[in-house]
Amino acid sequence: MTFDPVAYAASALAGPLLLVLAAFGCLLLPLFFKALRGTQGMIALGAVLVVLIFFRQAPPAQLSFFSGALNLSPLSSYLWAFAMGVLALFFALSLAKPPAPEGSEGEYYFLAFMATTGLLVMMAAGDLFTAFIALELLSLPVYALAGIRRSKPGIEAAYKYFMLGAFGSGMTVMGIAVLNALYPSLDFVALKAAAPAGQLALAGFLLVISGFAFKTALVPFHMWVPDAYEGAPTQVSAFMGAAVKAGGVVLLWRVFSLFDGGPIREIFWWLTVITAVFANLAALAQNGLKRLLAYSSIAHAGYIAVAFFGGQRGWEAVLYYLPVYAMATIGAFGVVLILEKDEKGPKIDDLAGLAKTRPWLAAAMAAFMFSLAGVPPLAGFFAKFYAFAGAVAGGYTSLVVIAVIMSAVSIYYYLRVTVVMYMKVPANGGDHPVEAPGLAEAVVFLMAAGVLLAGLFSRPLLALAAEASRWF
Amino acid sequence: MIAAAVYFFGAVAALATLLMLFQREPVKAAMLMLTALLATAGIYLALSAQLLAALQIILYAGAIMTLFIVALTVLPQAWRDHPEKKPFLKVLGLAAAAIILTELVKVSAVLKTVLRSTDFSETGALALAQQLFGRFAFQFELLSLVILASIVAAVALAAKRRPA
Repeated sequence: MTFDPVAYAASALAGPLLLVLAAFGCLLLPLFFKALRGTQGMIALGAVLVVLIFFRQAPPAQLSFFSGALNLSPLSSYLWAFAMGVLALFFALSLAKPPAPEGSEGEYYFLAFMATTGLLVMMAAGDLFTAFIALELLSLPVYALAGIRRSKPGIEAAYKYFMLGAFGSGMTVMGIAVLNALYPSLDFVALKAAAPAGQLALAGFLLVISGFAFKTALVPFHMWVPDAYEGAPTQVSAFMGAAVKAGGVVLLWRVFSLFDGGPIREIFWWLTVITAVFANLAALAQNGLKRLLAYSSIAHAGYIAVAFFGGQRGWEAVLYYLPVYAMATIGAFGVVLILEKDEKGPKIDDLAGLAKTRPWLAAAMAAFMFSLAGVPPLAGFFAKFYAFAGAVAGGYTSLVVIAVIMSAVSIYYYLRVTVVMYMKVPANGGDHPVEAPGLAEAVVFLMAAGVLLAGLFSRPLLALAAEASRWF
Repeated sequence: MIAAAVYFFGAVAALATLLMLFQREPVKAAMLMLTALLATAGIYLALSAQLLAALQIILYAGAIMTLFIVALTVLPQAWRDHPEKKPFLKVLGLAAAAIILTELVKVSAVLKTVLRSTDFSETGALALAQQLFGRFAFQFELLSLVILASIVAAVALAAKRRPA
């Protein structure tokens, strides 16, 4: 069969365009048709499923569009499929327990669609400038989604996230301005081919990296994470952990891969070490389940950064890591969603006796915790293994030793959740909600199956990741 | 002809600015400032700097003035906010004005000839438009989504909730 680039481009770009269309549909249709009010969630989920139909076999080449602003390749197909999957799960969780107050569902789904459009563009961006605009399109709606309930913790989360995020964006813009003055083109390929960086270029790259590290939540750019994850509606926290982080990781990798050595790599080395050490130690002291997952998300950003040092193999590991981490995180936040009675979510001790009252839910939660901790045969183990193996092959053994030690520390707090569920006697008789929204449970068990299957049969996903990683 | 237009708009701008300084009503002061800004745009236009004139109207006379007016409308106390009469502040303000005036005179003494071009394409408007709607069309459209998403986000966070 001959390959027609134009036909492929038309069907591939139909996906993001359809997302924008669905966003307007969710926002405007219920204003005109009263019967559609309150059904925005169904419209949104339906639209995502339609977008999934538009996914085609990836082209055997990289296609550039809009003067190099957008590059479509097997890599972008892989990442886009990942993003759409996360969005579908996010919508399913939102449908199960509506997070938005009555009357703002339209805005809620509109903002979610806009954020995902930004994420898709960011994952396929060919130059720094486009990537930055896409990053803003991803971030701005998520700030508002965090505070969509307009309750005190929600507004606090949105405000902190916005202030620190805007600060990060400001740094990125300044960095891009410096680089724009120094280099003829901000294209990633052109930047890589350009002359080695001088002092000023170094400053520019550092500013850009700081901004991107904000989104990925690398220490010391993580301050917003615990409060934002805790105060935001649980569905939005899941989206932040799975989607926003993935976008930041892709951007960081693009900047990181411009350098074969030198000061930028050294700075990345330190960022990785500080992140892995600090996040895991801070997570030990957490009592709230959402805060624990927030610190766990920071720690995993550190492990992903370790994989960066493995070169091509490391990138392959990152592409395997992202969906595996997303499954465990969305699943864990799904459990939080089922159990939560107030906005800040359950404390870890509130899970006591869950194994008696809801044995399957407890088993799924245990699977997520073990996967995040990296216990075989769950997928999290293989993700960490490939990430660290790449870095060892690249000669960064000391980095991997630190990461493995901190990973062992993390087993303590992940295991604590499991111990509380299975062995602790509940103080108040364990009044867990027996009636849970079916859709949320479906998502949780789907994710549990995914975590288990992607571990036991890791080859298909790994093969996809390997194929995608070659098109960088 | 061009010199006459420049002097005319310059005189309007200077007069409006002077009147604004001695105006105590905030809204009237804002209107006088608007006049000064528009007159400055007129100077640019007379010197064939169409792009600069357009930007002056869109950004200063449009966006920033709207911000002033909205702030005045939202904050009623601004209407009653008369500046305090402190001699020290007056002296400080006059000193700053004197410094800026000397600098301006010094700079304009150097600029003996008025720089101007009569060709539209040389003012950058064409080049900018070509870049904006050609090479950067995708980014331009993407930015429109960013602005739209920010508006919806602001409304979702700040607007009064409809009764269910």
